[in-house]
Amino acid sequence: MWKRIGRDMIRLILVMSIILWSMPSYSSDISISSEVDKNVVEMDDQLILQVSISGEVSSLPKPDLPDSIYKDFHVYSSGRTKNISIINGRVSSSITFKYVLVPKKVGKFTIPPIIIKYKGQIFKTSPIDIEVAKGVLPPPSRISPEEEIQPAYKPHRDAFITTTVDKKKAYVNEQITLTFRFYRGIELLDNPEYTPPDLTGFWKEDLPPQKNYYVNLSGKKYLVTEIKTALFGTSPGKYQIGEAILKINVEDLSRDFFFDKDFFGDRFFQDFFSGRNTRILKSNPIEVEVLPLPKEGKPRDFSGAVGEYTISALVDKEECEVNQPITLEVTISGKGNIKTIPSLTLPSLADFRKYETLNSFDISKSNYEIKGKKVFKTILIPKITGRLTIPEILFSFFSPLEKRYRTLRTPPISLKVIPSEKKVLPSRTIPKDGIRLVKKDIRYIKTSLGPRKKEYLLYKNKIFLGLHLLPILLLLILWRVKAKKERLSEDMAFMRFHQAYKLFKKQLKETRSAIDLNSAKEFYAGMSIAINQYLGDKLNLSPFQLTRSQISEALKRRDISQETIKEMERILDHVEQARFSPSKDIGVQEMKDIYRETKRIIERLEGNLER
Amino acid sequence: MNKLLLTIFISISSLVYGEGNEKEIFSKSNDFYKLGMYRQAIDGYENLLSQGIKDKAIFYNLGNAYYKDAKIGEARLNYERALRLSPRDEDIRFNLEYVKSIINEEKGGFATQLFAFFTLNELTIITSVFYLLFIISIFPIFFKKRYLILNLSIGIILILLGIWLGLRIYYEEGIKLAIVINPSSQVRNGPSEDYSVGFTLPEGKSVVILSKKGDWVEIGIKEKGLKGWIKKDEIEKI
Repeated sequence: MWKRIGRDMIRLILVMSIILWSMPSYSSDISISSEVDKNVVEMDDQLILQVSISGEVSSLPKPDLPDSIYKDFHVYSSGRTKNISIINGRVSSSITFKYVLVPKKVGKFTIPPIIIKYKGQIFKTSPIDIEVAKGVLPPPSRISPEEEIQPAYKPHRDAFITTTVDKKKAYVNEQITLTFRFYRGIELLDNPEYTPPDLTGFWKEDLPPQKNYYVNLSGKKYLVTEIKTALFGTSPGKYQIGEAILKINVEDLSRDFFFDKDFFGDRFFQDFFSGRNTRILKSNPIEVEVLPLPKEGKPRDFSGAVGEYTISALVDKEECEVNQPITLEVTISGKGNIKTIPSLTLPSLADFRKYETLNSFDISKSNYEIKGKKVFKTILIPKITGRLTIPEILFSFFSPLEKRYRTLRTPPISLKVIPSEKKVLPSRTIPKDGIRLVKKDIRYIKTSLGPRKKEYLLYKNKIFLGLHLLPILLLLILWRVKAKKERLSEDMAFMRFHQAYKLFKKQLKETRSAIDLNSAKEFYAGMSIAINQYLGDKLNLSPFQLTRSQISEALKRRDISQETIKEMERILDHVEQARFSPSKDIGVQEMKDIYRETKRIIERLEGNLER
Repeated sequence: MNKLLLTIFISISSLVYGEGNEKEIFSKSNDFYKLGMYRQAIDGYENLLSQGIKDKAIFYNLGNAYYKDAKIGEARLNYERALRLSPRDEDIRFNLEYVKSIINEEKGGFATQLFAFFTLNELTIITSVFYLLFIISIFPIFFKKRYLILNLSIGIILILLGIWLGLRIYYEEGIKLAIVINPSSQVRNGPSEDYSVGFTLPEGKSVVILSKKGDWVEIGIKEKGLKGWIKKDEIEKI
């Protein structure tokens, strides 16, 4: 008992220590890491920072970039990739945030640790060192060939901004690309302050990377910084993209001649001595019309997706056991606002148990278009065996290119569901009798009631217990009766023993008269009776069937001397002989002798015999 | 005289009515069971039991209905009760072992099965018969005849039967066994919510009642050497 408790304790301690030891790994079931595509970057180049978070949870936190990073770099979000995988029913997900960093100044910088908080714990990445070198500006590139509505620029200005859109009419949820350009033919003293235009009514997505190139306009060379943003109209109507504002500081050239440029060529001195001139640059507001989606031809299952998409569906295995999960993966990929695609409605699947659908998406912004794919993963557990079909899955969207609704459908998926391995097992081990155990369950109910009985416990029944005394009682009575009987016969023997001599003397006295009458026959008969009577009484034997040997044995047993026994036998012989063959010449004297001898030997016996 | 007749009449008629009603409720409950309406079936069987009708079929069917209603504790409780009434019933034993296997309780060995092979009343009668035989075997002594080996063997059997009966009475009446009917019950180190939780018990586990204090019962688990306090309504006596 104690040994067992001890063993259990040890086991408990072991388990506890394993749990404690594995605590850190348990709590760090999410992890964070960061990386950059290059550690050395030129002033006009850019670098890509990727922050990955992964863990065995379905919802991961979003990282916060430290504030100090904004001092040294322009930071643009460049989309994220979310990935959810379900392996053996365990959900693990990872999410990668992409940022484009454009350095603001030359020097050595450190991207500080990026911190996320999850369930009260803090996870951080290691810091990354970045060196920003003073690079040569890239060769002038051509204005992107896309058709643009160019506003009238002001060639007489040495710095100006424009905002343009690629189209002024778009359907709800169709991408409109807004391009902001900053032209400058003058050097800036510090970083410009940008106030983005008011984009009420749109859903906005940054489109990195920022582009820098030279352009010649009316003989003047400008450095152009181009930032693109994708806009999606949320509801139909006419909207205005507000004016963008850029605040720049340029040197006041009017004071230039005071200084020797060679001596004061250093930027520091220029900054220090030359005058500052702050300018506010504004772009024109743009009217944009968001068109409603046509009412005619709208499919029933349409849920607002706009763009150009394709759909595919697959299962992770085409053959599985009953009650074992399979994963149905439906992927919608293409061009459009992937994020806003609502969750998929699966057809009714009566033969399956269906679990919550998890979705993950992957957005890419290459070529300034929002593209990507959204993956819907659903765990299905087949309830029955046989060939099951997942029917076609419908997905409808509006195609702005074709200006009509389209409905895509996946081909039906056929599945082979085999009986569960585990439950088949017993039949495989005992195949001889041909019995196949399919499913173990409780046995069926009973349909008839037994005879109505009163609930009782026999061992508590007093009458039943009382009956058990009867045999014992009977036993006792029998024993008593037998004892009494034995005692009685014992008593008889006792009486005979003690009265034997008295009776013998009485008999002898009666026989004596026969001597006087000289009647030998009567005398010997009387003597025989007297002796046999006496011996019978004394030895508790019947006096009528006494034999010589019986007498001798009995006397011997009672420690009577051999001599006495011999004498007794002789007298008895004589008496018996004389009694049954009487001769005429037996005289009185002889009878008297026998009488005397008999009296003497019986007297001796009487003294020696004990009970 | 008239009064007596009336009493007899009433008692007979109530008996007849009771009998009919009982069979009706039983078959109706069975119908509910067949239809998968386990809650209604449970109500019916419980109603019969509350009338004081103790039948193995009622306990067994009630256990089945509870099992189908996913109440393992109640199911086991009723199978145990049914088995006490009819220890050699294959179906009852099978379902009880099935339910026990769900909560990973070890199957009783041959000795355990043998121990409970007879009902208490059957064992009482068997012991009684051997007692009688023993006494009869003594009688020849009065006629100066002894059958020593016969006497001795019957005597030994009688002693063994007596021990068996005594143990059975102790286990069924002396020790108070109970079944946990609450899913995942917490067993505390003292008879109040203020005490820490010592261990938890799955639904359907059998425990021994040691003592009572207010709404709390002290229980023990023999094979593990565990003791603790549990709320009265989380267990039920077999």
